[in-house]
Amino acid sequence: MTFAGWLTLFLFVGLLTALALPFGSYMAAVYTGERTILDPLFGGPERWLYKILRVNPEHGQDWKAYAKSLIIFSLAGWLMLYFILRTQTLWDFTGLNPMHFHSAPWNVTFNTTSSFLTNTNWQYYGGETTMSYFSQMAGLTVQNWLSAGVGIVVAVALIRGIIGRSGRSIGNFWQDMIRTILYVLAPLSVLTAIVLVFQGSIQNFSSYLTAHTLSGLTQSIAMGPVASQEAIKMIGTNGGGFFNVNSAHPFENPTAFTNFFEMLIVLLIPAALVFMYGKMSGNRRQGYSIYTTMMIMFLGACIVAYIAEAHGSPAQHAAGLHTGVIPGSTGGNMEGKEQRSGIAGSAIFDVVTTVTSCGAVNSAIESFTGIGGAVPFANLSASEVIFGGVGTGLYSILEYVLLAVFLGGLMVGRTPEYLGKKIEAREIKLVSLGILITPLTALFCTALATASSAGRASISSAAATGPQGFSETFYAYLSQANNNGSAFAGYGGFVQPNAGNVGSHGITFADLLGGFDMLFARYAPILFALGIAGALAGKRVSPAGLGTMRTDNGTFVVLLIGVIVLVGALTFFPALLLGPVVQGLTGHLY
Amino acid sequence: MSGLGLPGAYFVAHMGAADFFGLVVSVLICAYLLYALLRGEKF
Repeated sequence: MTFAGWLTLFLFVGLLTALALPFGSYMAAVYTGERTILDPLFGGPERWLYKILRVNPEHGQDWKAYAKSLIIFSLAGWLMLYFILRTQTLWDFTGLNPMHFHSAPWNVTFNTTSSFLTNTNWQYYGGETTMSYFSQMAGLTVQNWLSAGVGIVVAVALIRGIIGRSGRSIGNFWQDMIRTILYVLAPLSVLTAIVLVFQGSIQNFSSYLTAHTLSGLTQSIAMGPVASQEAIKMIGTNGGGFFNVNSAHPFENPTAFTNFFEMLIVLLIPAALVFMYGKMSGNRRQGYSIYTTMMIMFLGACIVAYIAEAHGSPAQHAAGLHTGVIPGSTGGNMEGKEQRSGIAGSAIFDVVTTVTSCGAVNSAIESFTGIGGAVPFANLSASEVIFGGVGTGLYSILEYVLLAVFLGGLMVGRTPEYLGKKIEAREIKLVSLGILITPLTALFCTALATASSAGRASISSAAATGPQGFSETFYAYLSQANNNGSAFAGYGGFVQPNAGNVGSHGITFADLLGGFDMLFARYAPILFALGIAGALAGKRVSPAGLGTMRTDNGTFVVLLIGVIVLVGALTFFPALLLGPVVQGLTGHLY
Repeated sequence: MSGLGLPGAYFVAHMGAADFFGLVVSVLICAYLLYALLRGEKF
C-alpha cells in the first residue's frame, strides 16, 4: 500500500460528495419543474418533443399507467435494437461499417439486445471484432442513454409516491424521460466526451489502422467513435465497452487522470440522486442518512479490495513472488492490471463499477486475489444498494429503508411509518418481492447452469473444475441479474473464430438464460418499485409524534446497514463459500 | 451447440435425475409461497 493509493481513495470520496451535493439540488429542480440554468438551452427542444410525441406534461399517471408506458417504451427499444444489430450489413451505405462486419448470430444478438436494454451491458462479444460503428452508435449507445433514463425515472416515480400528498399520480413517464435525457444525461455526456478526447480518447469513423511492430509483425489498431460512447457508458452506469478489454484499453481510458475522472462520473448521478431525494422530501437529513449508509459500505469495500490486492495472494507468496512496495512499483498483485492504473486505481475502479450497475473494468477481475475477488461478489450480493445503478440504486435502497422501518417498528412495538405514511402489509409484500426477486433469479440461473452440461460448456477450459469454474458461472448470472455486466472472464456465450462474425456461433443456453436473467431481474423489480409508489402515493400523511422512529439519525444508519448485510449474507453466503472463499483459503493457483 | 432447439429441453436432457427432482420441488415451493403472499391482494 502506498500514500498515493490512500490519497486517491479519500480525494475521490471528498470530490464526489462536493460535486454530488449541488448536482442533486439541480436534479431536484429538474424533476419538480422548477427553473434550471439549462432552461434557455433545452426549453425549446423539450416543448418540441412534447408536441411531436403528443405528450401532455400536465397529465399525471397512476402507477399502472406509468408502468405501461415504461414497458411499451422498453419493448419498442428492444425490437429496434435487435433489428439494427441483425441487419448490420444493410447499413453499409451509411459508411459506418468500414470493416464490413456481418451480424452476430441470433442467440448472441438476443443476449446483447436484452443486455443493453436493461442497462446491464453484459458482452459475450468483443466490440472491435463484432460491431459496426453504426451498430455501436445508433444501436448500443442509444440504449445506453435510454436504459439509464428508465432507471432514473423509476426512482423519481418512487420518490413521488413516498412524498406525494395528492392522490394517485406518480408523474408522467414521457415527461420524466425527456427531461432526464435533455437536462441530466446530455450536458454531462458532452462535457465528459470532450474531456476524454482532450486526454487521448479517439472519436473517428476511420478504417482500422495497420501498425508494423519492431519485431516485424503487423498489428491491427481498431478505430471508432469511442469518446462519445465511453462518456454515456460511465455516466449512465452502463459499462459496455467499445473495445473488448473495456476501460483497460488506452483509447477508452487513456491516462491515470481519466481513470480517476471516469470513476467520479460513474458515481456522480447515483450519489446526486440521494441528495435529490433529501431535497424533494423536504428533509435533507433523509438524504444524508442514506448517503452515509452507502458511503460506509463503499469505503469498507474499497479498503478490503485495496489491502487484499496490495498484499498479493497466498499462491503468489507460495511461489516466492515479491509483492511488497519497491521504488518504481506499487507492488501487490499486478496480474491482470494496467501499470498506469496501479493497485489502488484498479481496486477502487473495480469497487466503483461493481457497487453500481456499471460493470466497466480496467483490470481482470478473475486475476484478483481470492479476497479481492470476493469484494465484487459481495458488492453484487448487496443488490445495487451501495449507490447502485443510476436510479436503480436509489429505488433499491428505498425498499431496504422501508424494510428497515418495518423491522424497527416491530422491534419497538409501534406501527411502522416512513415520512408520515404508514407502512402496511401490502407495501411490505411488494418490498419483499422487490428485494428478493433479483437474488432469487441469479441463484436460480446459476443452479441451472451449474447442474447441466449445457451450462458447464460455457466455463473456460482452464477452470473446468474447481472453485474458479463455479465462480465464473455464479458471477456471470449474478452480474447479469444485477444488470452490472462485469465478468469473471472465461465464461463464454459466443464462439468467434475470426473478426467480422463469419463462421461464428453462439452458445444458445448461456445466451438465452442470460437474456432471461437480465430482462426478468430488471423489469420485475421495476414493476414492484412502481407498485410500492402507487401503494404509498394515496396514503394520508400523519404528523410525526413521540412514537415515530427517526430515519435520519445514526441509529437508523446502523439498522439499515444491518438489514442490507443480513439479507445479502443470508442469500448469498453459501454460494460465495463455494467459489471465492475457497480460493482465498488455499495456496492453489486457479 | 447451435441448432439444438429449445435450450430448456436440452439442459433437462443433460441434467442428473436428483438435480432435476430438486429443481422441480424448489420451483413448486417458490410458486406456492408467491401465491400465499399475494393471495387476496388486488392490483
